[in-house]
Formats: sequence, C-alpha cells, structure tokens
Amino acid sequence: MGRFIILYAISFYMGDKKQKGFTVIMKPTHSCNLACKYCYIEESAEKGVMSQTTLENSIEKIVLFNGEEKETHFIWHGGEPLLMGIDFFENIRDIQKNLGKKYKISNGIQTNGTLLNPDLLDFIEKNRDFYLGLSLDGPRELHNQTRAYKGGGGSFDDVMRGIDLIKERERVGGGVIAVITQINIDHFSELYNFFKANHINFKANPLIRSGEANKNYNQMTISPKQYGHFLIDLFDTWFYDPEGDKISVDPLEKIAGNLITGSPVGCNYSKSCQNNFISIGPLGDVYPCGRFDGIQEFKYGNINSNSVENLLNNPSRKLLLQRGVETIEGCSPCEYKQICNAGCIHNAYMVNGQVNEKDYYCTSYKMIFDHIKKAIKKEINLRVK
Amino acid sequence: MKEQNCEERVVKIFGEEVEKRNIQNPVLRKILDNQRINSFLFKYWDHFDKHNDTYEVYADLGIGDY
Repeated sequence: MGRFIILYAISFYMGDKKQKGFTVIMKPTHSCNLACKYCYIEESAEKGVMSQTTLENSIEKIVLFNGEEKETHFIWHGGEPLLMGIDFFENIRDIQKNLGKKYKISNGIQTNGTLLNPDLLDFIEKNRDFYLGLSLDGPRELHNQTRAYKGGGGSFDDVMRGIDLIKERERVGGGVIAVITQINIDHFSELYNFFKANHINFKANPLIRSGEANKNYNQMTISPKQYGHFLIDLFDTWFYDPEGDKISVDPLEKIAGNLITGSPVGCNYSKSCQNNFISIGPLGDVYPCGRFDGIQEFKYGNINSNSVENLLNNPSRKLLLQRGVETIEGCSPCEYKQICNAGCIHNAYMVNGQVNEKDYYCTSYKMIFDHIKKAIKKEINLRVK
Repeated sequence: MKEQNCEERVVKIFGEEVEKRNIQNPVLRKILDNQRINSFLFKYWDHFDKHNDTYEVYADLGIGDY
C-alpha cells in the first residue's frame, strides 16, 4: 500500500476524534484540610474563595474562546476543591447548562478524597460531564507520612473510605495520583501490589519542587537518577506481571505509547503545553498552569478584567511558547527530543531559575525511555513469526 | 531533526514482519490496544482490533498534579 493511502487511512480513522480547546485548571480555593509535606502551592498564591462573578467569567470566557468545534475541559483543582461544597458544583452545572447546548464542555475534579460523600457521588453520577481523580501515596504506612490532616493524623482511612464509595458507582472515575518522594521511592513493589490488590489505576508523579516541598527539601527530594531507577523497577514489576493488564500504570503506559507513535500526549512532554493549558486562581488571576500559581512573573492578568485574547498575548506566555528543544543546550542531539520536548517548563524553572533549560527529571526520562524501548523490542522479537 | 513519518517509525521500532497476534505479553497487548496507538498502527497489522477507548489527551496531567 502506498504511503499516501496509508496516511490517508490513518487520518480518516482519526477523524472522529474530539478536537480539544484549552483545558482550564480551575482553583476555586487554595485552602485545604490536609497539610501534605510536599504541597506545591506557593505562599504567594491567591487566598480566598472564587466568587460567583469570577466563576461565571471564567467559564463563559474560556468556552466562548474555544468555540463550538473544540471541547473545553475544566479541571477543578486546589487546594481541596470539595471544601467548596456540593452547592458550588451544582452552580457550575447550572452555568454550563445553557452553554452546553451549543458548546462541548467536560469536567474533572482532582480531590484528596477525604470529603467524598454519597450526595456528591450522586451528583457526579447524574452529571455525566464530571469525573473524579484522587490522591493516594500508597498503603497506610507510606501515605500517612506525607498526607496528614492539618491538625495531625493520617488521611489514609478517609481516602480509602471515599474510594470504597466510588467503587459502588457505575462511572465516576477514581484513578489516583501517587507522589513519589524520598518516603516511598524505594517501595515500588509495595506501591504496585497495593494498587493492584485494591483495583486502583495509578499514576506515579515525581515530586514538584515548590511550596512545602522546598521547605522539607532534605526529607522529600528525589534525584533524577533515583526517579529513573524507580520508574524502571516499577515498569518491570508491571510489564512482567501475568496479570499486569488488569491495572493502568502511568506515566509508563503513556510513555510506551509515546515511544510507539512518536507523538507525546499530555502536558509534560508536549511541544506546546501553552497552547493547551491555562490556570485560573480563586480571585481570577490567570497563570500558564496550576504549578505556576503565585509566581508573579508568569501572571497573565485577571480573567475578570481581560479578554482571553489579551491574557494570551502576555509577554511571559510568549517567552514560554518560544521554549523548545532547538533552544535548549543538550536537547538537540537527543534521540528522544521528539517525544520529550525538554519536559516540563515548571520543573526546569524551579530548579534552574529560568525556563530555557531542560526538565530537572531529564535523566529519569532518558533512563525509562531507553528501558521501555528495549523491553518492547525484546518482547516483539521473541514473537516475530 | 526531520520528524519520522508513521511508516518509518513503525518499521524502525518493530521491524516489518511483526503481527500483533504474535504478542503474548498481556501488558504489551494492553498498551497496543489503546485507541491512540491503535489508530496509529492499525494499517500495519492485519488483525488489529479497533477499540472505542476514550482518546486521552489529558493523560499526562493525571487529572491534576497532586
């Protein structure tokens, strides 16, 4: 089959895929009932809670900007978004109801899971444009070391209570993010076995070095090589488990997909995350993404007093858009630049003080890319007819 | 670097004679059954299943950072 026909067939098959507009990381509050030792929220991040005016402006302006053809996805984040109460989410549904007749809208809620209750799950189950993501750092003895209540005491039992409630429902989401720190990085096997035994899909995110993580630097921080070895050990545990297909393990599954297609998904390895993500804080301040909240040099302005076009024309965004593997020393000869794109801008900035540097975890990525590529090739070569 | 097109990339990574039906590793089969990869590869393997998984453009965000 000629190349043209193959590519035409692929593009035809991909044709029914939803087009995506900006994903908006909405932070109705930076307050939280937990005091996680690595919380990345900077002290300079906005205080207070989101007003009705800011909520309406944010939803309407972004949805209209994305237009009828592109879906707008809101991620309700924080702080702890469920501190806002179920009324807040019913309000969101009502604001989106009319817009939803003409525009495509979906919602995710990223919660610590401690405040989940049947009423909220009823709401999510009825409103099919919402789904949940939680945070859980592994079994009780690991999780409680990092994710405790402000008044003290681990949150593990309450999170698991929330997950049990989710399991009783048809479709509300419920995958978790586990943050990898010095506390749990040597426990890849325990983490995997725990999540698998509890039928919980998980994503192992490395520590973000800002906020509380910087205050607890010696206790929390992990080196790029440590994280690389962790990912390799986790991959082997999952990949060679005869029942490994029963659970999704990220970022490994996505990295494998990125290696195969040569086309990265998501924000971390995106060539232009700045064309896909934006963050709005409790008072309406707009930043490149949720990780930058409170860092004034990256503030685009306020959603209440600006059009989206004006906000996106901010010079600091232009600086971020110019970042690429062509401008960063060491990326040019890398065989993985096509699927890495120098990694996360924030990870580069927080360690190096500037955005035109490689992601702090560059070494980790190279280690796991190499490993997965070899593992897949070996597996296939064993089976070639 | 010139970006590889689909055909070049698949051949480089897998070779030309691979068929999905020969892959026994359940995790690798799961990885390949993802719609994104399915869409990319389906013309290269005769027996590639076409699943209706949600296209996961937000995958890397978890859905949130923490």
